[in-house]
Amino acid sequence: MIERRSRQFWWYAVAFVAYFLQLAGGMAVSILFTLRGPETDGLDRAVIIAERFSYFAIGATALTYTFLEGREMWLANRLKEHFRQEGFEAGRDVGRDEGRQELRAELIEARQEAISARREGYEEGYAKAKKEGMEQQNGADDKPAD
Amino acid sequence: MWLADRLKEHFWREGFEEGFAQGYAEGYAEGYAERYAKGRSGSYEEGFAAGYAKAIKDMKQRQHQARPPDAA
Repeated sequence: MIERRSRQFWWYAVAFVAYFLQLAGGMAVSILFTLRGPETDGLDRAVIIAERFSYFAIGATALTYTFLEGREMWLANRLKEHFRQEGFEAGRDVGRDEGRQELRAELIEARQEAISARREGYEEGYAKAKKEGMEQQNGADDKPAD
Repeated sequence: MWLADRLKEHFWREGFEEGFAQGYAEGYAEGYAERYAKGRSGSYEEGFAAGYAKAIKDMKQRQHQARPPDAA
């Protein structure tokens, strides 16, 4: 959608020129009529002309903004590979650190699991050996002395 | 220019996401390969390839899990 919007740039440019000419023409005609019109008071004429100019200024500002926005978008679209490449490089650096950290975290977790499994095994073995030892000891105690 | 900035940001973000995925897999694979070679399980290249494949697989799995159930 964004690319299509950028492709419309030249239509914006044509529309901009057409509207600009229309505004300028309208202003010129209205000023001409004001100067040749029935108003004889100089102040009236000045106010009307100022009013026409302000309309022109508002319209021209809006159009200029639209034109510049379209132009920037057109440029951004032309330079999209450049922006993508910039983003790619930044993302690659961040991603590389993230990948290394992820691996480190996985290794730490695996090591902790191994340590706890070893401890569990040790405790189980210890308890079993202790039990067996005690049983052997009891058996030896129960035997009548020769 | 607001719209133009959004457009630039859009392209930058696209590149960033691609770069992040590749960098993540590379970083993971580099660490994996170093350990692989150190532990004499195989060559650095073999470790790198194994680590790269694992990182890609993990990432895909995570994306799949992150997706809402109705989008699947």
